[in-house]
Amino acid sequence: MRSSIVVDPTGFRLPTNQRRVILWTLYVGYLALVAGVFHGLAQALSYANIDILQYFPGLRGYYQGLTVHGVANVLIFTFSFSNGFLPLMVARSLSRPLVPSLLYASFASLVIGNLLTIYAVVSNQASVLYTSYAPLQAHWTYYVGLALVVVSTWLAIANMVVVVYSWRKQNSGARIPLLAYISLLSYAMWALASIPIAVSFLGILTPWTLGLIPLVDPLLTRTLFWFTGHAVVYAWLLPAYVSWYALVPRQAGGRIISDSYSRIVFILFLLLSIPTGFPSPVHRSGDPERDEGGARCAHLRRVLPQPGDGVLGNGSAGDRWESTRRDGSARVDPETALERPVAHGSAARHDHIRVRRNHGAHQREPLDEPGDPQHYLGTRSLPHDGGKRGSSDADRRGILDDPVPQRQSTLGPACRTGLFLDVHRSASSSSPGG
Amino acid sequence: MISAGLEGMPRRTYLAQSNYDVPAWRLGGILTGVGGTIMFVGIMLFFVVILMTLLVGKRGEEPKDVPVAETLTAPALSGWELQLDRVWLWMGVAILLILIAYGPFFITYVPNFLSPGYRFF
Repeated sequence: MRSSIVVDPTGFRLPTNQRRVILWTLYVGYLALVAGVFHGLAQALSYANIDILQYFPGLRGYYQGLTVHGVANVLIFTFSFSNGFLPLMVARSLSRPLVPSLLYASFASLVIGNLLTIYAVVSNQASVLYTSYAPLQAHWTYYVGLALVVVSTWLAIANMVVVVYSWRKQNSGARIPLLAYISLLSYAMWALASIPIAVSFLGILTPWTLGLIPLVDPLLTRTLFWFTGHAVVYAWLLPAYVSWYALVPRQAGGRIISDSYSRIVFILFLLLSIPTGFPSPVHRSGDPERDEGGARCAHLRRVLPQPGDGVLGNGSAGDRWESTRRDGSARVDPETALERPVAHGSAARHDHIRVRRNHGAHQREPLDEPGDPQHYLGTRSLPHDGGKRGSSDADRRGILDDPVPQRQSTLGPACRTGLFLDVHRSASSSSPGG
Repeated sequence: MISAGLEGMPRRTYLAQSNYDVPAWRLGGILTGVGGTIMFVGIMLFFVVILMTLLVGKRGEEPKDVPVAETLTAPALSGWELQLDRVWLWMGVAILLILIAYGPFFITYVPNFLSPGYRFF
């Protein structure tokens, strides 16, 4: 016996006001998609050695563009779309209007969050990429703005829960229509997955960037990020899955084979999306070569010459790594394949800074206080590259010629925490997957 | 990108302005540029479709409904399938699995607040 996946197959129209809010929620998503895709092209062409980023008006650096790309395309677009699409599916499936106050609140939270985030990113105070890895620090509006985007998804979830709950109360004993069920479960998974990133952004990173807490634990915030970050990939895809399971069969002229199997698929997403992410923080953190964050941090060490490199003799985990490397062990790390600039006089890996200079970027003027990391990093010179490239090339890339302050590396603590995670590994060695 | 990645190409690096010049990255890089360009054309066409649908589509007949599908068999009204609808139960199981996976880490991990903030870019 055929069966519909909605209460009333003949049709249902949301109140006009609610349709308008949902339409504008989708518009926000598509605008974000437009904003983010251009850097995608620049990124792809960059691998083919074609530089179009220099022609992007207003862009002050590669990492600013990359942040726009990530935040707009994978966070704002996806959640704006989900915020509009999933509640719409629930309303259609149950032939019930949504809760207007929650709908408006969700949209307002999305828009305000977007405005804050746009301010932070456009003013180049949040070029931290969408992963937001500490100790890279963004303006507070970035963290609060993205947290508000997360809040908007919670309000959308609340809306769906209220609608489904009130429908069930009036239809006790009836099965939840499939379309409403899979839409609800999609965001139910996200409800659980999104809590840590909100805790991290609002509870740790925002106070930290406001100076309320001076120091941060990069490993903790990264673990919290990937708690959410692994499952977020499924959260992005689940609205498409809803469409494939519930809508596309109709458009393709077919039918869904099994109601129960479709429900089980979404239950499995709910159950497994988050726990399967657990290896992410641990394994990534433990292996500098495979670890994105670690490699990134190693990369920072590479592009930012560090006078104190390798001679930090305080027995930290980082020094163990250094000494292991110097001892000539076979351990492969990102820095052995490519020589380190300061130690070996190669300028091959100063491209980040060069890109920045080349775009006229002086995001943050070096401060006078010696305690300010930018005091070193912002004015650090980039050694010449041994004549392999002409000076005109160097000039084109805008290398500064300030002398290198012979000081202890200011990047050391950051990289020791972000990259050399012996502390973390010993702490988690007793846990599953550790 | 995969081939170049296996050869050690770093991610999130603006190679077009770098001095990296590793021959093993070149072919993958060119293919990435070609593929990315095609994808960019694709998304631009997508935007054109969306925009024209919004602007011109109103003149055509408005879709009457979301195209909802049917299932071959009706949902069971008795038996184990009813358990599938117990959303709170499955939420509880999900929370339990999360606690098993992440609990030991969060219980044993001693936060190590030691890094100030940096703004490099």
